[in-house]
Amino acid sequence: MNILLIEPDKTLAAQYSKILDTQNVITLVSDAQEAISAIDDNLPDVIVLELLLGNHNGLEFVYELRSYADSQHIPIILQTYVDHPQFTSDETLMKDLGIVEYLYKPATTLKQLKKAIDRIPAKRQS
Amino acid sequence: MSHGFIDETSSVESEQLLSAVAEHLRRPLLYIRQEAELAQNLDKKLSAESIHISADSGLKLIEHYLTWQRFASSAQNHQTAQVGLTAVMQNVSNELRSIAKGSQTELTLRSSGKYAPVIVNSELLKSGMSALGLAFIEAAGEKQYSKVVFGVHRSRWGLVAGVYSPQLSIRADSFLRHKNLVGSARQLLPTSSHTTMSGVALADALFDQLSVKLRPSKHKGMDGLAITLTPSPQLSLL
Repeated sequence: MNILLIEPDKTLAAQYSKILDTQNVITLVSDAQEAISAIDDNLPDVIVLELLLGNHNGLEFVYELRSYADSQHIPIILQTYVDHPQFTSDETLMKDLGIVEYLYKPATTLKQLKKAIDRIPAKRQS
Repeated sequence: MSHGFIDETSSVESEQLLSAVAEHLRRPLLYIRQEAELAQNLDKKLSAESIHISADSGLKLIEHYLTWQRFASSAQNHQTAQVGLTAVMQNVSNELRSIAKGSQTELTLRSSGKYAPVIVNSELLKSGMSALGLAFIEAAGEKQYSKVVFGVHRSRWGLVAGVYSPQLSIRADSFLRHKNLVGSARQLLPTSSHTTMSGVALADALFDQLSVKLRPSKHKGMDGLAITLTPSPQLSLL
């Protein structure tokens, strides 16, 4: 699977890459601008996104992403420090934005992230 | 600022700083937990150096908070002594060198000339500079090539001592926004999204105990944050 990992913390990004790169192709970027360029070059199968980004925040990125026809259906997994009940309680918002999983970083193990990504193909087939 | 008891303002400040420190500590703890998880799941060796650095930076932040709390609640006036600014900056930069190295950050001291000593509480000065240096190292350390400079120079208002980096842009308005967000937001400076830079808030509070203000400053074309201290005219004659 082709994964776009948008993570501003280089140290954490390296850890995520280690756990995910066994069967996947990982593209690492640290902000929204780099992410848009990476998507222009190669459409990912899934995006793993931290909402706290430099310059533009993660939600701005999601809205921009969804404004392009070819990137409207890329599933997004939020892997973030933002503990926002809106994301867990409002299923309509999550669905509208194409957010398939919300993972709160401090409470999420690497294994749980990997499992969330492994669930993506099954969801897309259904 | 109060001496003798923690009044309502200090109590609010204490809560805000504690909240900022707690927010910040999630990063090194998360890193350590994930490093352990990688070792368990992928049979990889634990990266002892990086774990040591993460733990060390977290512990240093806690120590700076405790130093601030001890001074903020102290009934007595803070003891002062004559202190060589360059020597203090050298000392602090040496203490942070291993953390900087682990973050692939070049740490240097730039001090142009010899300066008269200043009369301050050296523990507060050291703790404040260390908290500031740590915040800059963590913020700059994510860039491919990063550099943090401990700088001392003379200005018309006195001796300016601070921490600078060519990788970070810190303007007066962003610093003011940072001050207003302490304790209530994670991302305190827009230039740094991966770290809270809580060390800046701690340094600000520690320098406040010295009755000096932390301000945005320029040094050799780099942005940074610095304090200005007045050298003792008597000591400069000795």
